[in-house]
Amino acid sequence: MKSKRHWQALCFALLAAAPSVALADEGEQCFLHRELPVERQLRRLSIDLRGTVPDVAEYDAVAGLSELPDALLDEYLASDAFRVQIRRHHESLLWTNPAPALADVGFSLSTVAYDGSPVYYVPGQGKSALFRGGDGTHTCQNKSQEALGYDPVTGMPITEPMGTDAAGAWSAEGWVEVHPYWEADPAKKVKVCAFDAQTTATYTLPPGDPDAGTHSCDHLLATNKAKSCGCGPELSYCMPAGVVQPLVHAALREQMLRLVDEHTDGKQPYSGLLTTKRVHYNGPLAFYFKYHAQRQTFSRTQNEHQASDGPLPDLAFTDVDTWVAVEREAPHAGLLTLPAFLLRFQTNRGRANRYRIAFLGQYFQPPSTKDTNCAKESDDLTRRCVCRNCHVTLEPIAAYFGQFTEAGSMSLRDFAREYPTRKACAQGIAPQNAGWCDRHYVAIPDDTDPDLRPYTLKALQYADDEHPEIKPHFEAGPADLVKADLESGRFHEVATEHLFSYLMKREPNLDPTTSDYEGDALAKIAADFRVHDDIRQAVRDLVKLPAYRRMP
Amino acid sequence: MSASRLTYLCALAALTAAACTKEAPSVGTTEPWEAPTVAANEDTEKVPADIGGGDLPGPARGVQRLRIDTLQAAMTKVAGNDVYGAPIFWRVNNRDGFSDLAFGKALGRPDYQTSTEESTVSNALYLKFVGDAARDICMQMAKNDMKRSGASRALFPKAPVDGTATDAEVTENLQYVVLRFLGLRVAADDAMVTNLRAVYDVGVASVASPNGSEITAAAEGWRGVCVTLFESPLFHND
Repeated sequence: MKSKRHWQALCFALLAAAPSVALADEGEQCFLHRELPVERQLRRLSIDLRGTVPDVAEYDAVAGLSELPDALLDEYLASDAFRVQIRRHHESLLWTNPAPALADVGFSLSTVAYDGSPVYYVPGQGKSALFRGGDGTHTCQNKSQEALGYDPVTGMPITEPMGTDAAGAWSAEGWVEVHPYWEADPAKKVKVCAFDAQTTATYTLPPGDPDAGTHSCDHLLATNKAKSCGCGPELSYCMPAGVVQPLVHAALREQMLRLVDEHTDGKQPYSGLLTTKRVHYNGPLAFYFKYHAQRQTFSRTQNEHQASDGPLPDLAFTDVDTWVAVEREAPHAGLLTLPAFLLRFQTNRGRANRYRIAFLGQYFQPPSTKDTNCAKESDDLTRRCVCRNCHVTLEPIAAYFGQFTEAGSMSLRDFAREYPTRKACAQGIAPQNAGWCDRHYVAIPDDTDPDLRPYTLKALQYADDEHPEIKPHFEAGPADLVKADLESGRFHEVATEHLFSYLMKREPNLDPTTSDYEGDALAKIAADFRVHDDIRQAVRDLVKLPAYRRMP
Repeated sequence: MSASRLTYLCALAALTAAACTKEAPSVGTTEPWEAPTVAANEDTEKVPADIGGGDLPGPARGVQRLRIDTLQAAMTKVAGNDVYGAPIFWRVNNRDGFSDLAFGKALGRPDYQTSTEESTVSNALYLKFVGDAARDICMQMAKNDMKRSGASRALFPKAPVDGTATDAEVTENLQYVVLRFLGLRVAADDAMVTNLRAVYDVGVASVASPNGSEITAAAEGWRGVCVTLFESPLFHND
């Protein structure tokens, strides 16, 4: 019996000694990591979760403790300051602070100073020439339109001859006083050139005109078509860019951040960030999409509101702090189809690339070896030498975003996929416009009769038998792309890695051959994250890792 | 379990252990390792007790310089409010010096348009602006504290600044500001306290008292300590 105990003791000593001897011999590292004092632990946690340092009372509250209480962690995670930090974390992933030009000369409002006070007018030369004749560089004169009156038949302002310029004779109307939509005070009015202040909502082109019929004054194609079209009621169809544009830009950014808030507060699943149909509008955004988005020229971003974007809430432009949630329809998919994302990454390839980086942790890298057996001059980038190494992966992913216009946020869901001829394509919008066709469609080469080439949506240009994924990906939309990555667990794994880097200020060690391999701990947190789908819980799990409490 | 079978298992375990090491130690004969008491420069110094053995701690979190947003918030939080209840911040032409309208972008705050990533390197520009911010904020703290008394003060709540402060009061206040600025609870004889005491003394000696200025010699001493702490790497690391 005594002998048996002796062997058991020897055996235990051997087995216990072996791992530490092996580690010390194998690693030959000098481990000097120390636990932080509890006050510095508190400071670290506060900086990471609240973005600032604790005060003395908070330091005193943890004095003498060996580690921070769970209740304190919960308090920090529930704080508004944490919400702000999580917003910032997602902004650093998505870079979504779009600032495209939202107005152009066709409907932006400039001012001319008369007697020291501004008079608003639309500076577009085509429109000005339509109103006043001449070369289109003239504005109204400095007198009230009441003194000149209105044409009893057409209702348009009566003008006075002003002279002749290089293009011919021109005349000018006076100004009127209007309450503009961007002023909250209903009593406040501004002076506006009378032609530009016209409130007509529609114009009619007579029989015999190729575009005969009644059309909206609040549209790009009305700009140079109708003399009776001005800026509409309260100047709603026009934009003083310096006043309106900053508010819309800020609202585009806030719209995305509100979605982040909704899916990081622990009440709604985090993955809903990429799947939800919900979207929030405030006054400036709703107003922009109701009146201004459809007025942008084709050379600029196209953001026209579509049926799939859901109903626009009835908000005044001045309702800056009122946010209303509405439900969008397919093919929308969370923040991936918000204007902030689509306008920040304006090509489908750019959108796909940012998606891979932010949510799959994957980056494209050029090959380090020479590319052979490939097409040197092909327009098809999935076959072209060097290009193909990335594009063979990128193009099918980019196709998921095909139902959204490039250089714009407009949904193309309800657009015809193809037109048989260029003329038919131009008639896809009324009044017909070849520029509209060129903006959204591309000709499919036809050697037989170039004039009868069919036109297809640009995203479907390479949707042929050689690229069988493009058409189904286009039709499925970004929701299907997200679905696959949610089901595989990759989305939560990468989100966990990003959070690890954010909190630990370094990349995780995912090399399983090293002694401080962190892959298992991370995989456990990611697996749990996938189940509870709560980013706050994932943050809680990460900051409770022993490594978080140590100083290097 | 029979003794022979146990013997076989343990022999196997011993072989396994030996295979994991270059030279398996003989059980029971290893002498405890002693840390050297003489350093490479032949100085006799205290060596940390666990440097030669004990459990091996795992990896640690990294350390980074504060982001500009965090630095802005941290300096304002440490500075506290002025006598009117408004937060003290770095004033540059009546703007917050860390805002994008002043030096926020120059210091590297990303706007996600022209810059998308915030460098957390403490470069010369960063150090220069932090020095400017520290001097401005510390002067505001000292001036506001001069209008307050006792515990309501932010910079010297534990020590009067009318020239009557005792050594113990100065030491207590130094411990207080080290905690307030750096989140470190240090003993009265800690090297950090004694070093900061030297900064305080130099500051006091640099000003004639009474000098007719808004802040007294002692307050000037505390202003120097304030700038030192704001410029400390421990303040800028998280």
